[in-house]
Amino acid sequence: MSFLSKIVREPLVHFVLIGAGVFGLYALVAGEDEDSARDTIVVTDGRVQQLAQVFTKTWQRPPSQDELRGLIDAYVKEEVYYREALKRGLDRDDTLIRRRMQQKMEFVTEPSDELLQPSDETLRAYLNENKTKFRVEPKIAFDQVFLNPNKPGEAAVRAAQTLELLRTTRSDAKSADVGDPTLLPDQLALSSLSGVARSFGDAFAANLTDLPENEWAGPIKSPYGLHLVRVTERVEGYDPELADIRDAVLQKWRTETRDAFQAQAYDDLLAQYEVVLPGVREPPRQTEAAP
Amino acid sequence: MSNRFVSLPAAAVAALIVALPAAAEEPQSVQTDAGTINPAKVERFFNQPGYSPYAGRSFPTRPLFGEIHLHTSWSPDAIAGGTRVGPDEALQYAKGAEITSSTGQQVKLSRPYDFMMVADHSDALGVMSGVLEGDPSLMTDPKLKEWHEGMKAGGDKATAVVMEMITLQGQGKVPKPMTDPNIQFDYWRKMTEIVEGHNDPGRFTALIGYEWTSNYGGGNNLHRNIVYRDGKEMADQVRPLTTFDTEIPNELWDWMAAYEEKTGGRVLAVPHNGNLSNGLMFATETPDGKPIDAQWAEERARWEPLYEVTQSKGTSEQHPKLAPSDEFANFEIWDKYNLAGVPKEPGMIEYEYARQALKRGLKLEDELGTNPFKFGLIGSTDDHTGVSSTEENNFWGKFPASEPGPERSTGNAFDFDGNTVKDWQLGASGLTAVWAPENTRASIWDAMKRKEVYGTTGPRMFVRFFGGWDFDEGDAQRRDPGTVGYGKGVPMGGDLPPAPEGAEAPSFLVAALKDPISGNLDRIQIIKGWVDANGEMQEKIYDVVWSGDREPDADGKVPLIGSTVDVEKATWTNTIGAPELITVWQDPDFDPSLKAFYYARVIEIPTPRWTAYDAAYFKEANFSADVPMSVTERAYTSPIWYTPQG
Repeated sequence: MSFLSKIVREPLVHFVLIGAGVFGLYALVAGEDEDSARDTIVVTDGRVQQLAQVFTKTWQRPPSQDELRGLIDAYVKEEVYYREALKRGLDRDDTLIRRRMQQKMEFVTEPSDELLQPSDETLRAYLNENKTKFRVEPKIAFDQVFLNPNKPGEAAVRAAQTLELLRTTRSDAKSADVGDPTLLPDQLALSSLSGVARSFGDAFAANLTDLPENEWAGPIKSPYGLHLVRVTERVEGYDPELADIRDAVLQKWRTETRDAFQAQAYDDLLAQYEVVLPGVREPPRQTEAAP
Repeated sequence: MSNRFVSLPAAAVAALIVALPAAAEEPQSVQTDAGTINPAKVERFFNQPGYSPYAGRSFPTRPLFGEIHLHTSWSPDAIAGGTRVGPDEALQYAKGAEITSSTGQQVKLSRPYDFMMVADHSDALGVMSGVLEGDPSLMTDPKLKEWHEGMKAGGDKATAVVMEMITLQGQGKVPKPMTDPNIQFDYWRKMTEIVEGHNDPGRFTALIGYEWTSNYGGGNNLHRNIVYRDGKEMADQVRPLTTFDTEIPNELWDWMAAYEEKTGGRVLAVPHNGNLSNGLMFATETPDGKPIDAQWAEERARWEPLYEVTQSKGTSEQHPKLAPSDEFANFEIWDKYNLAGVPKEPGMIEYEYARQALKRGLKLEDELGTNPFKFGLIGSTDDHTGVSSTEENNFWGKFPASEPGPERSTGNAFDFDGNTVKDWQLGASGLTAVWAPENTRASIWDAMKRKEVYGTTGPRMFVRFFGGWDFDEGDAQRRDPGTVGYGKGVPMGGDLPPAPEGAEAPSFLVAALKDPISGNLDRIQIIKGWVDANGEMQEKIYDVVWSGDREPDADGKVPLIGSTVDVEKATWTNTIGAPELITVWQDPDFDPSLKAFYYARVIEIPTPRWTAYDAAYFKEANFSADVPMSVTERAYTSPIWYTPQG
């Protein structure tokens, strides 16, 4: 495709032309000023292009003549109301507008990209100071045999019998062959303790820590019933190296850096003001209800 | 047969068994790199299940929990209401971090979510200002002024400007005012950047999305959440649709098609709060009064595969008036007004509730060729606090004004000139479970698209639901319903395959495991909807498995389970109900000539409602006597559909 035909196909160019046409037409239809005291609303070519661009970016096609005219009409209407509202002071004391302005200021005072690109040393130092936040949890893998308290027979008694059976004659038995059916997994691959808690509850997960390895033990109680458990693997928790968790550290560091930067930016702005408060007094105490 | 079978070992074995006898009559050997393979050798390997019970298992063993409808301070109604929690903090919270709420209180989830979509209103996500508008304040930059003049001149000069802009942009050398965030700031790009930063495939999925908030005609809720399968790179290419662009849902679908065509990406839309649409959500004409047609039905089915059935502003499964025999239908119902306080008129609720729409969809399929309302069910919060909360003992309200405090015992959630909805009517509700094999955007989105999802009113219940033609009682004795379910049937959201020769009625394998920190399970129900031979819409609710030894009455209804809730202390005991329920159920009233759908509803035993926790915690709380203090949490699966052949 030739360079020129690319340009001719460039929507931006179309908008300049369409925009100029529509605007010309608009000026004709709207007529000349009759009253010199009237304010002027100038719809620039650039504005028309912007309206058309936003439309194109949304619908993935340029607006038709009618649509563009509609966009311009809507823009003029918005501008008229906007100006009239400002004249009447409607922008003041409007919670939504005030908070949106605050939000925009906070966006504008974002730290620059360079400030958010820390060196490895900075990150390593940050990680050192915040080890606990990044600590990798201990992990555990186990097999379990379930005893349903709703089945006939005292679950605790059946648990003791089953444990005896597993320990003596059938230590290699699949848990499917003994115990009661359950939707809970009979083998759990290496999982963090919080992952175990998600499926089996907190108390169950906490009770796993004392169990011996490669040996059936229990029963341990869960919200579902009793479980005989054979821990098959344990991995201790540890503090990971920066290289292993760089993204996570970077993200936390950035959040904190941003917050600190915002706080500083606000303090700087605040310093430009003298804030006069009414006489500070204690909020009225809640009186105790009479007995 | 669905192509899901291809990836499953059980199905592969079955296929080989069928194929082998023919091959055996005329033995043929195949020469391969591993030597000669003959049928007998193949049989030796394939005629038994694989040694490892996990090898070849491609289906998920637990669902992923999260939600796709959380507003943050970037939504105008949220920031106006005092919300200070933005998308970044909201996503940190979803991953399990403790954050400070808008009312200065510390808040943390009981357990992290697996995924989350922040869905702020698109109307507020616009660009702050355009560069090319010819704003006099920009014209102080000589380069911009030159460009402006060039553009005005048009022709070759305008062309030159465009080329120079593109070149400088490529080199990162555009004039300062154009890169000034004050001028260029774009909320959407910033949003996608933040979401991208939290997306951690395999561990936590942050979906990109927004809410298109059409209140057609003034407060008639036609809202949709748009869920992207894609990342920032694609999502940034197309501007989100606002309601300034259009308020008509079928034009939203045009936008979705335009997005997919432009980027090669994928999006889907999830409507919500039919209960506040004043008869428009599932109407048989478009909001601007055109009767729906074949194309409309096809597009709705294509773009809107899911419906958000429960959230903080009420639950829209079924209205008790439309299902008088459903003793569980009267659940967190909001049926007085639309979103602008316009009172409902008789007949409107007929077009507002999910079950009614699922039935009407079958009817419309006869008329239009496509079922427009063939959707799966999910839940999400629609909280506007940046704090997604669905648990009764950890409920953070809908706006900062309804965050925990004694005020929400008497406050108004909505006040339309005296037409009020009280804070206590807000539900701590709306969670989505997704049967996705991986915790990634693509995997979660694909599961949503095929409707292999379910919604809960908060608890993280594990629910399996499969339909087929040959499930038998023995399948309910097995401890791996996933293996047998995928092997012999289709999961929730699917279509029953054609009935094999001799099959009398479809059978369903359904199983549920309670949330370890929530109430026991009361029962599982299967809800069937169909259109009878006279064209009348019908529904029936079957209690299929329940806890304890309760005897069903003459109509098959199992008596209510009772309650252990101690309202004053806001406690309950799991001395009633069961931790898990599983059964196989066959439709006893099946008519092969009639279209039907089936979905499962899992009911928990009563537990304290958030209002009871508030009353126990805040001495000054002053709930009136009519405020409900207990709740029966539940899960709603996506349906499985049956269509007669021929």
